[in-house]
Amino acid sequence: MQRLLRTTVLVCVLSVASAALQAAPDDAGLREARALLQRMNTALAQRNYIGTLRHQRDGRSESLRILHRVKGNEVAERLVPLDGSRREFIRRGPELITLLPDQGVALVERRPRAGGLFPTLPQLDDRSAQLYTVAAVRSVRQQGREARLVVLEPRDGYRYGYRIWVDARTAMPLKTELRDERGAVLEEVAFTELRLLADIPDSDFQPAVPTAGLRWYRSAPVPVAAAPRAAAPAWTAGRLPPGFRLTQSTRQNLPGVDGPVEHLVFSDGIASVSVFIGARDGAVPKAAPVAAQTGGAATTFFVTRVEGRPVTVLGEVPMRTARFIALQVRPATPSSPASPAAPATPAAPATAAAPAAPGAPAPAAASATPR
Amino acid sequence: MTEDERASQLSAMFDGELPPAECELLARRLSRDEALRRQWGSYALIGAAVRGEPIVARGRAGAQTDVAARVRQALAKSTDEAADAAATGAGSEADAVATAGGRRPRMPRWAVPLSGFGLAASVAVLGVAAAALFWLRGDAPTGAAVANVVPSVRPASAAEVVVPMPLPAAPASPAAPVAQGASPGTIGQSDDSYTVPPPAQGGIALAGGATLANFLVAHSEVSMPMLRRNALSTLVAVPIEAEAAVAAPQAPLPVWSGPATTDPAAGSAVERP
Repeated sequence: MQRLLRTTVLVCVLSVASAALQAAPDDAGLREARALLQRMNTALAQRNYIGTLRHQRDGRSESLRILHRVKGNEVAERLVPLDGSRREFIRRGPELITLLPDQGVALVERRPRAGGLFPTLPQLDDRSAQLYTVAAVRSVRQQGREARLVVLEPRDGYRYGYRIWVDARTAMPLKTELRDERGAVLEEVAFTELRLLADIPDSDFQPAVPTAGLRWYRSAPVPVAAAPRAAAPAWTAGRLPPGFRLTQSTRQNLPGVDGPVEHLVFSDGIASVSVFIGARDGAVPKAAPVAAQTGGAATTFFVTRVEGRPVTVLGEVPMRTARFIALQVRPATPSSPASPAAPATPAAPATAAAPAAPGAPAPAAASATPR
Repeated sequence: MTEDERASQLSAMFDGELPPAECELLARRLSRDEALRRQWGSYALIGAAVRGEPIVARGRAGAQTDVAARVRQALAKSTDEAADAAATGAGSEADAVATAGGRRPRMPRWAVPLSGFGLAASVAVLGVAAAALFWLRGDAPTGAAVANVVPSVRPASAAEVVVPMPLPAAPASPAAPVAQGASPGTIGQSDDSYTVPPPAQGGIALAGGATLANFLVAHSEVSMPMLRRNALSTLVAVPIEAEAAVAAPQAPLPVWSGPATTDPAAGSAVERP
């Protein structure tokens, strides 16, 4: 009873809070932040450039060479760490090649880009503007250049904050910082060197590592991936963290993976969380969830099993968000009768399906989700 | 002191059966001695798994010195606070843990005075984190032991804290052994796939043969370009130790969770059958 009361009070409080959040947030700062981020995304996706990215986390620093080219209808990209690990990531049009010589493996994925050459990407839209506070937009010097600094602060603990230094002239991100809910820097990525070019020769997109002797895994063609799922997604989430909604649901083959994998994407507008649901396999049906943050990067992952299927959640979000989503994922056409298929409004309170958690913030998910 | 004696001392400390004075000495040594720390980590991991406690870790790069520093800091503080803590009986945070967990976990006595330094429960958590890491890297002796314990999953409790975790300083060498557990028969079945040479033992595999690399790549496609780079640089620049954790789907895996603040929603969901 006490729990119920506590939960009720919490829901009320959060509802009021979310109503407050929905008050018109837009001002000059928000508008400029939105425009800047839009320009930045466009520049990152459409310009030709070669640069060195310095990636820092917890005092450890790695540098990566990045090459990016758009030529005709093809995007080419190559990412090479400069630390000698010899791993590489190469994109040539629809082909994504990941070379992991330390594992003796190369993964090749063919991925027809469903959204055209430059698919719609997460952005600071009206919805996400209610989940983040645009704390500042101001002019600063960064890397010796004129920049606009955009500071996005999360309004709750389900997402990270961002500081982005956008080059005033080119709109390229000179530096980005990801901060946790307490404001501590999780990760910093900066272009220590950047050249914008008219063209980059093909030869620059060849791998530096010898590829003979690697085990190559290629994904099978995916007839269903290109077409948006006509029917309702086969999997969905009962509840979602505030502000997150299902933005994509595809079935795809991944290189070296048995059977098609369901790929759900949940986004709050800025951060995206991918959920991969593998085919049923012979593994222990009730293995305990595993959660980790990969190598101290901001990418969090959480692995569990739902209905005997392996579920992997990945995203640049706090662990609680990944875990929340992971544990709410379920078949939309359930084997248990409790779960209503509500993919269009994933934030809808699935009261029947969702076990009430004492003191859980989750019941507020629906009310805190704008529209 | 021989290695066996040290091991037994370590074990006693973990079980809360070592006199406080010796504990402190050993803890100091623990802060300096990587091998010992690793050993301690094994005990902690096994112990936590047996007790069904959530094992909390946060993979953070380059925090090796940080860990040592925290232990030292904790020790420095503990010297001042030990008397007080002993007088009041126990650290309040340790009590909180006991309450949240529903039953009082067995805390090493010597750890109680350390409870005030921010790692809520105790240095034990630190050990667990380190152990989880070593286990993930596959160079800890705990793999077999862990496989034999079935952790009973329990709600996230106040014992969940953010623990910066050391990572290996350098990426795995090309010849480094990788996680065991991939089954050769489960990879690359489609017509379009080929394998040169045939899949060997080892490899990286989530359930179904998927790799974290697969997922990172696919995920990067749906991220903001800015974040996509981050995900991909994770992929190419960081050894994916964590894959080892999920490479053995046959074995019950330890609960390795965090860096979360307590999340009752998730906690209850974890219990879901």
